[in-house]
Amino acid sequence: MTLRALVVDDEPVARRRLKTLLAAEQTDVIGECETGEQAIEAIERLRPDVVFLDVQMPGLDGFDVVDALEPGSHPDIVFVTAYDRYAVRAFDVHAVDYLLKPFERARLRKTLERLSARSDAREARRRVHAAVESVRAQRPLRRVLVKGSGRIYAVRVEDIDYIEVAGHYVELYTGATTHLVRETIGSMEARLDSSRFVRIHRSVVVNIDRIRELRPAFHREFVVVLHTGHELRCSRTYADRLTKAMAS
Amino acid sequence: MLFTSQVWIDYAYARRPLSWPRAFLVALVDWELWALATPLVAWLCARVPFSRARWGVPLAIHVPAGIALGGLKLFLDAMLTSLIVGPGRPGPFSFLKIHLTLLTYWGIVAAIHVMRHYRVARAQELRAAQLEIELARAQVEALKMQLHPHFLFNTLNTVAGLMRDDPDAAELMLAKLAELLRRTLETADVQELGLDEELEFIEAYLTIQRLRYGDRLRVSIDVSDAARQARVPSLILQPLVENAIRHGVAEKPGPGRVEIGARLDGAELVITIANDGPSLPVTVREGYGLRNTRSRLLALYGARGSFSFGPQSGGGAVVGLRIPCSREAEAG
Repeated sequence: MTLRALVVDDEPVARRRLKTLLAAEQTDVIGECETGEQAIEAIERLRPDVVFLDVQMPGLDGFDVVDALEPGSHPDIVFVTAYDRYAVRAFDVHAVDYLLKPFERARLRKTLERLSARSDAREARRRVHAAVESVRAQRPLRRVLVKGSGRIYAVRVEDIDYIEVAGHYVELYTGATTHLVRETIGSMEARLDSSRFVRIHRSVVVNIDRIRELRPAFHREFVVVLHTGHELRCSRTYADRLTKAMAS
Repeated sequence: MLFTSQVWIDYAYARRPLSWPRAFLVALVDWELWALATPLVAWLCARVPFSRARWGVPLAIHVPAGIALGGLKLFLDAMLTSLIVGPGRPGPFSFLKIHLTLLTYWGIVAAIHVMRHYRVARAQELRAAQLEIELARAQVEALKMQLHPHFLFNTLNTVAGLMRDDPDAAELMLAKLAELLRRTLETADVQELGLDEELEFIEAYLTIQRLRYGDRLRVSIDVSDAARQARVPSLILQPLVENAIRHGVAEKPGPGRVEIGARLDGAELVITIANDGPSLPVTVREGYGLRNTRSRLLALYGARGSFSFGPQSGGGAVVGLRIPCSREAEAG
């Protein structure tokens, strides 16, 4: 049975090379995408057997694509990357398929052989998610994936003014717009760069680059004034940490 | 002690013996008056300094100034001395003292000039050292960019991709990669070069990026002929163009535009690099590229150079450089 493959890479020459090589290995390339957004849509629509997924892409990257997929039923994933030490280590640890650019034919052939010999697709999927999770845990978050109604998009962390708890969700405030993400504020804070994002209240994490000034208030609390003019309360418990973070 | 005994001996010789304390006061007055006069001499030296190129005017000013100041000093000296030693003839040899006074005046002028030269030389050394450091940093960064794993491996991957379908393009890409490396190594100790040379470097870099990104990267370069002749700090544009591509194109799906412009504005060269990427956050952390550019301009041109960075109306960002213009012809 020939494999039906989807190729995802933002560089046209890189896509073409992969397509040519795959065709030579009797693999059927049923589509190609240049962004993560297109990839998510194409995976749903085309239901390929395998996706060759570039890790580094503008907008949603390869890991975001994996995050957005239904964990139980998506195709095999082969990551493709030019260079990414953390990711490659995680791929090795979790025995996930990957290709390093530029790769040889022989390496691609080996990957394809492994794919067709694979008996447990569910186990493979689990390993892909575990690898992505461990990469995420190792480095500060750069973008937050937002699953809106009918579309998935990414918010750059440097665009976030502050984050506030909203029931079982957190709300990201970016200028005039807000984005709802299903995550706890604690886990969100842990994933963010701690020199930039600081907890100022039980339910608020603020981007310290957006703070215009602090106004001392009662009980050693602060009113935090953002560049947008928005005011937030910094409770006593977090006041020390905030002033320290702002001074560094 | 030395000057006091000198005064004591002088007066003893003139058969007007003085007590030691008085002799001391007379000597003190002599030098105190010079101490008072020194700032005036220093001021004059700052206004009309002697230099290899200019000595006529300073001489014409310092000679009468020396005589006037010397005369005034002698007069005050005589007044104060007579207060100390009592009325009568001023101290001995006062008439002869004019020579000594003029000599002292020129001695002070010489000392001030020596000090000034020393200070200027130190400042120049410091500035040269600073410039070398900044250039070395720019070079390391340019090399890092080329050896940046993402750039290098993606470039090699593109070459691998082009090899079969478009051997000419593959060859071009390898040649441009080699050119980038070679030029970076060759600018090892050149602080400034012509903008046209700097643009050739940028062209090599852009050729590679265009082959990688295809239609997604659109670049326009608008540089006037006069501006091409101007001199710029070496490797100054590359980190800025790299930034423009990274933030303007690589982080944004779909096509992105980078505009590079340079023109002369009077005696200044104005360079702008703009992209139409995502709009900037309100506050931006300055990365390496911006910081180094800023400090190199400051070291090379001081207040005569300027650097600006900010959002562009309609999205994206623009950086602007303004540097005093020196033509290649003038620089030899």
